[in-house]
Amino acid sequence: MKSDEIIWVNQIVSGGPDAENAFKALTLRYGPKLYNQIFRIVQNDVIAKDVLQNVFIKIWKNLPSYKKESNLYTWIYRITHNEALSTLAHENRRKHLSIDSSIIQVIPGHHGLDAFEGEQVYQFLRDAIEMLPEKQAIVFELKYFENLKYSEISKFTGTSEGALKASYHIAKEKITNFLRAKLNH
Amino acid sequence: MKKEKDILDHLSPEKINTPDNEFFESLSTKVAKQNPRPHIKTRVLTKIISMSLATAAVLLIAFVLFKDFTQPIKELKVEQDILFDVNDEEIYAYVDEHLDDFTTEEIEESFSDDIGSELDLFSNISQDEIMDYIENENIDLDEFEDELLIF
Repeated sequence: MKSDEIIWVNQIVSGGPDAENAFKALTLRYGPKLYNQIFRIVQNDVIAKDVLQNVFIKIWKNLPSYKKESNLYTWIYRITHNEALSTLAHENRRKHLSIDSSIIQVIPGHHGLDAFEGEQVYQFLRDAIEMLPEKQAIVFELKYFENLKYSEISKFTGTSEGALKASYHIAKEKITNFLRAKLNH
Repeated sequence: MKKEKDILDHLSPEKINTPDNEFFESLSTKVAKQNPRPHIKTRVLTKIISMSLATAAVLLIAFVLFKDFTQPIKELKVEQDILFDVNDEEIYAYVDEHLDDFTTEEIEESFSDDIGSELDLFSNISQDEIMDYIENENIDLDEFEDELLIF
């Protein structure tokens, strides 16, 4: 965990006047990435903001139980992922979910992809990401969707750039094989 | 040779309209205000007060229980009060009449040191009287070898 994050976590857990400022710093650092992560799942701005608020409430309340041995961003990513999926399942049951915008655009030219709608392809891609181990999913999302450099991802995850490159390569291979199987079905 | 494009290379992620910093600042303030967290010093003080109250409750329960265990002493005192009105002659007469019903230990146990010092069962009996009694009753002294403290 980065040194400033250690200070923030301790201040938030201790309570008192420094807790709110520390929490604000944490929110500004991770909030944008978490919003994007949620939006890629629910594809609706209003719902994404609701989910994000629930996530930060959980972070604020559960930070005392956070085990500092694990990476902070990984811990937060997991809370966000679970909260977004839970909300998506709930909204799908209500059938009220409207999609604000698409997450990916299909570039014409691939014979397999051309036969499917963009939203269908994106659902295949989401299913593929869901089957990845957590660390590979984090790297894939930050590299493929957020277009971060490996050095930036390393700061988020606390993992070496070499390990991140290997994880991304394996994740891409798994997703490609999954998509091929879906498109050829 | 041109490398065949990967499936993922045919997919282009769209930019998401991420909220600005102002949104995240107000979000953090809202979360912190709606879920106040007391300062750790306050929490420690609350813990100390709770533990003190719990300790006081335990001591109170222990005192009440202990008080119950002292009940026999009260009862003995009541018995001592009852015997206070009975004179020595009456006690001698009762013991003399029911001597065979009690062992020496039972008689000794029934009287505390306080009363025992007032009630001296053998002070009026001479040694000759004791010897006559033993001879008349044909008492075998060997049977009382361990209990013979007066000889």
